[in-house]
Amino acid sequence: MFSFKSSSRLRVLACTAALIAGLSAARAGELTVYSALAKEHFAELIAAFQAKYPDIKVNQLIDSNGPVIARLLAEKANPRADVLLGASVPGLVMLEKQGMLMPYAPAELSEIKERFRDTRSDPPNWVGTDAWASALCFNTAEGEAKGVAEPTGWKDLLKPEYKGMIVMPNPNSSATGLLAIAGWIKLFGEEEAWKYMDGLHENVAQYVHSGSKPCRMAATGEAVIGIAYAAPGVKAINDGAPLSVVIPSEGVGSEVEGVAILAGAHNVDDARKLADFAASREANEIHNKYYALVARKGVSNPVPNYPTGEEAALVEMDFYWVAENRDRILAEWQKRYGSKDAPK
Amino acid sequence: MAAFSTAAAENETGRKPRLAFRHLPETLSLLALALFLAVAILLPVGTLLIKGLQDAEGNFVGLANFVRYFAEPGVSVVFWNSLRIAFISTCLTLLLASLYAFALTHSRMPGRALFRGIALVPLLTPSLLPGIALIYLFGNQGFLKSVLMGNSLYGPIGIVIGEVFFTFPIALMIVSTALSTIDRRLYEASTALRAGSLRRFWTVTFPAMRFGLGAAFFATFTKVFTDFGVPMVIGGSYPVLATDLYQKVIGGFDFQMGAVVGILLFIPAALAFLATHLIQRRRSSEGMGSRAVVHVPEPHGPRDAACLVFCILVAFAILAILVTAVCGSLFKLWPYNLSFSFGNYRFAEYEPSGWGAYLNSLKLASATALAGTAVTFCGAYVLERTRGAGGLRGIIHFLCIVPLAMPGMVLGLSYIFFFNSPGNPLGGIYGTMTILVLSTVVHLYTVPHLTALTALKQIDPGLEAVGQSLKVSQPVTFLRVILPVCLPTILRIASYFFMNAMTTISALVFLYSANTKVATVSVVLLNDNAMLGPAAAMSVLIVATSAGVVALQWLVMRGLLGKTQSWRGGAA
Repeated sequence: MFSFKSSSRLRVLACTAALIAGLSAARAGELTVYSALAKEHFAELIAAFQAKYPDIKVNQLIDSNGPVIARLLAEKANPRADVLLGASVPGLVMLEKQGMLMPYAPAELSEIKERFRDTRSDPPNWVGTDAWASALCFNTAEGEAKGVAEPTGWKDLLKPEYKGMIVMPNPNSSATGLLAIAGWIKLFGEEEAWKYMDGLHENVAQYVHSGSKPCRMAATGEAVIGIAYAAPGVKAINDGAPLSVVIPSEGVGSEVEGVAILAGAHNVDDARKLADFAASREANEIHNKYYALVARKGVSNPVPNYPTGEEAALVEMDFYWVAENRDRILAEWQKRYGSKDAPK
Repeated sequence: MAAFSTAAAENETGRKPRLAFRHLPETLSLLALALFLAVAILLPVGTLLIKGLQDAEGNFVGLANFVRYFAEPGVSVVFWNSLRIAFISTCLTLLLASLYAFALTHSRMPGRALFRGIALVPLLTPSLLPGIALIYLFGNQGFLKSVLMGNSLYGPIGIVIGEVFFTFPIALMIVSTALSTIDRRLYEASTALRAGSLRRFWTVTFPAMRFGLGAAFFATFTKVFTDFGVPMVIGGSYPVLATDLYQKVIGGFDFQMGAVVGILLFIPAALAFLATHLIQRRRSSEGMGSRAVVHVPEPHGPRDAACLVFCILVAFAILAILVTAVCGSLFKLWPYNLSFSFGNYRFAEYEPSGWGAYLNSLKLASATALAGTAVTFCGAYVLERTRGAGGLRGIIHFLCIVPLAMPGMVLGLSYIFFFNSPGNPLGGIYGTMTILVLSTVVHLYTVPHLTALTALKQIDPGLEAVGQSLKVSQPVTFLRVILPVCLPTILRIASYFFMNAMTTISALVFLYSANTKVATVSVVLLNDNAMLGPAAAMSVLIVATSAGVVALQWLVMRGLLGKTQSWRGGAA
């Protein structure tokens, strides 16, 4: 009957083995990076980083902005990630408030434009990589088939002819959705902005989970108009989709994406290397392939098929205001549109 | 052998004082099993329940979270949405499955085995797959969009169609089992009493399948109510509890509300679970008598023709969904360029984990099959064929059945709360493959456990006693006799674990980490980014793998086991 004892001993062994396996996941030489960047962008950055530091193994987790921040908050007591490479600044500010960021001034910080970094703290809690702005994606082929014209501004979207053709990201999960709303509040004033959204709601077919989905849905004709940002639309145009990216005439809200080291980082040395790299000229040239506006002074190459006039249309945004009012805006949004019944 | 076992029993009662000591190994192994179940089920779920009663800082706030949840405008809508969708889908599924089961068991139409096989195809698919296929068929650019007469697929219509596909085989299996155990003598009696076919249906067929229908209703209802895959893909802006939970936790950082929704998700499942048990208790008293005769239907032209037409339609619909997903994975740039290419299978271009997610799924499924089979079978053995520790057994029995009522999402959420809490010595497994394997084994625990119990009950209880009288220890008897005899069951259990680990999503969506992303999670993320082609491609890969494993299991059962199981033929 000895083996019954040994079977319980085996279970203990198995548990120990599991523990060791779990702990080893966080050993030095491995860097765990969470990111809300577009996938192609992230992949190219990491490839360039690893070309420089071939010994650093990167574990990566990419999702929309909301999920990434949610995961970090969930893991607060028991942190897993070393670096957050690319998250919207309101999200970063939320983490900062919880004391979850480790301030660090990357090498060449002086080369980073003022509005692309945390100026309230020295060393900064986060450093920007790029900025992006709201935009509309319009499927020209479907527009023609349905006989609707390309919209030129936000207010055009209220026209009844667009009923059921518009897709927008849910601000609860997507920074893109929240940005669009923050932009409208900035442009129209809060009261008018909610009135605008009431009207828009009538035309919206779906609120979707991720910020890059609306433009891709427009690219495949699942929607005619996507409210999102330019980058995924530009990518779809370059892939051959019948799409045009519109910068609304009233102006657009913009948001900075940034890098931060997390307070519980297991591998601080390598995390700093990645933060240094993200601020380097090489990395900024990669950011520039996806975004027209990047953090470093003197890097601004035109992105193929990127809409012109984005920088001129930007309205001044207060990230801290957005971060502080996020919960209130989301609760109001949820109350008004959260339980949208079957799409009409 | 009966003589041996009574002899052994007398022997035991005669030596009562040494009993406790003699049963020490059994008691220890039972304790180990109970400890495993406590850590893997009881403590995590307990943590979730407590979390539902705490605020964000961990202070006890009673039912305040529930009050807040129901006070939030539009929230009860989500709950009712879930109930409505589950009810409609279940009724439709039951109707189709009952007719189909009738055709399989009560008609003489040709190709019954083939139709049964086709009906089980959805078991091989992740629930995300019907959603994806339906977008190609009925989406705004779908081939058959006009069928919906201007209604949008995204929302209740899409969810119901997807859920019917997904739950059809489950309902079918339960109902057809009920139908095939109707006593033929009842039909003969009703014919002798000159009952018309309608009267015969109401007095013989329906009463006999009533319990099967009830069980199928609860199984299907629970499945739909807690399913995440279908509404995630084509729910549009129609919120149901499962997607709401995902949104709350993954999107809104709100873990307290997450716990509340998790508990709500658990309630109907728990009720259904209780109801099924009550039904089964009544059923067992009414069950088939030992002299019952299996019903063999007579040929009947019009009935068989109608059955055939119906089955062809249903089978065609099932296959159409599968074929659409395969085609979708091959289209170059849907809907603008429908030439075929394998571009969508170059996953690295769309998702950073690329093929790695698929490889992770294979790892997960293999590890789950190995660990799951070992734990469930050994657990069932210890429970069924050892003596002592009476009270503990009851608790273990109960814990083994609980996972059946536990929605995967609730399990995943409670694992976050439990394993990620700072004081937990097992916290190290959070974020590793180990926690994915553990959660999957627990999520799937009940069916293999019951399968193993049934198989073990069929073996003569005197075997170990015989072994003992020949001075062979129980573990040796287990290895040399019990294991080989149960090999078909063990294989079935292993392939059940493997297949379901490949296709499951619900618990994993909360538990995957940077380097343990699995294929189904990858499908969710691809779909989140509207990358339909690659999402279809990854789903097709999952189906192909599950199908491969089923084929392999069948081959092994037929070939290799012919030798070890030849004794069964003689016994029957």
